[in-house]
Amino acid sequence: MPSCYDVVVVGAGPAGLMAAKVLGENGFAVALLERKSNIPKIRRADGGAIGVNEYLYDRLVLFNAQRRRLSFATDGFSVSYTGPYANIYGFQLYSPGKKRILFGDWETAQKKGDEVRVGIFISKEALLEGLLKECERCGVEMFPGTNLTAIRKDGDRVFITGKDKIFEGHFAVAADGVNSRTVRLLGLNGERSFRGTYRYLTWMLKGNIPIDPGSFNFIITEKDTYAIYDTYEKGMYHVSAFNSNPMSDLNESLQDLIYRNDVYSPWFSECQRIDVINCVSNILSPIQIPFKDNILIIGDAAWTMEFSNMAALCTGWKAGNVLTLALKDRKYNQEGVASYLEWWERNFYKPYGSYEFGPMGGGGTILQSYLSTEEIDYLAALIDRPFPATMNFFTLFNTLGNTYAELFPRIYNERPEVMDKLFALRSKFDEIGESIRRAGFPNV
Amino acid sequence: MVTIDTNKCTGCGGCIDLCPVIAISMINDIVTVDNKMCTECGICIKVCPVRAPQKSDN
Repeated sequence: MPSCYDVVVVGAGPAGLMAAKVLGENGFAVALLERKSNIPKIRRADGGAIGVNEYLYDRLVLFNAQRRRLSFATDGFSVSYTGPYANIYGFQLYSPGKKRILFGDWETAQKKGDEVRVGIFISKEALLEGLLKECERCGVEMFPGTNLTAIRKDGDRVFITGKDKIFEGHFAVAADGVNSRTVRLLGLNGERSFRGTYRYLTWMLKGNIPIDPGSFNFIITEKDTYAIYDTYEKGMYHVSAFNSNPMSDLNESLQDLIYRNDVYSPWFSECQRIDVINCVSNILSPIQIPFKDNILIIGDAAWTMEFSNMAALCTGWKAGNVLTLALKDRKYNQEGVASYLEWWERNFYKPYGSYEFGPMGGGGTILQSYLSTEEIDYLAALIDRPFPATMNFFTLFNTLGNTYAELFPRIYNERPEVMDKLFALRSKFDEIGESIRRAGFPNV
Repeated sequence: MVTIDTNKCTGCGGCIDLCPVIAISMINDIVTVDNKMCTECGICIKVCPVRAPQKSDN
């Protein structure tokens, strides 16, 4: 290995692989460190989707199945995706008694298919494999099985210690995901506010679950809130329980849905569990200026929670290009990456960074603790037609908020006690948020 | 001290990221606790969605 790399990239997820690929293609010496031994294999829920044809974070992604490319039209680049995929046509919300709220039109989806999709389920492994191959082809040196243990800046060099080896570079890129080790070692978490510890458990089931193909479903039962989707592989589903209460037993919660719930357990009677994946992350406020000690922080490492494959790829691409110029101009400092910092603030931090992932953001049982299952069914049944298809959570929450606000007079008339509870819930949001924060374990 | 039930650990790495003293690392795609550094705060035990970390006596 050379004595000094141009860039040391920490984390071989989509952001890190993309940054490394761009730098490698531009002829720079890159070391890419990753704590996993098997880089493409995904052991962390979930990452199995990417939105297309719909503006998400003000960005449009297109998928050309013939050419096998995902095109990030807004930022102006594309990546190869040769893995399997299936269309996503929107979200569905299920109440405890199976009343549905649709964000998509599945009847049209049957006829129009690709034209009306708002996303594709992908194999994240295939995505990473493709990027990894391109990195290897342009000479990026890979160091799997390498945990980051120390960082140090000296003049215009940064020294990254991993697996008792010291990697030296003009710059480093921290692409090690939400709750990044690099960010922690840089001491940047002290300034960030903490919103809760979010836990997510997924069972991968094989069988036949009666959900609409290409739907991303949220189920509310008396016990918990769940997500179910079919994947790119027909007959393979991901069923997840998630919330911000570290004391809850997510396994018990999933078992309740799958084995005990009167309404939903019949869905799973023919299913077989194939595998388990999960994740735990702290929700911290995003980093406004993601640069310190010649380390540029990209992707989820600078954000609040697991973000999107698209955002990871875009930040990786932008970082690779900005660092290319910084290296060519020999600006081994913040000035060299100023254009990345400006782009990050304008495109991500300012418009989306302060979005409050409130009590519902971490999943859980807020609604269920205030409203009975019958009351939730009643509220769900008030929505009598589908909303436009979307994979955008902001759109989902805004649409529901506005729709129910308009329904308040009707609810007040028909079910005043439900109206009382909704008001009580709203006024308690801050208190609920506080108790979620207190239950969690903030990063140092 | 804390040991990891390797049959349960899925290698998500969440405990690594949340350990206050960075006592946990990823080795061969599952996690290992360095008990010389572990302070037995119990956070990994509480947060793991599959309950892989276990407290054990020396």
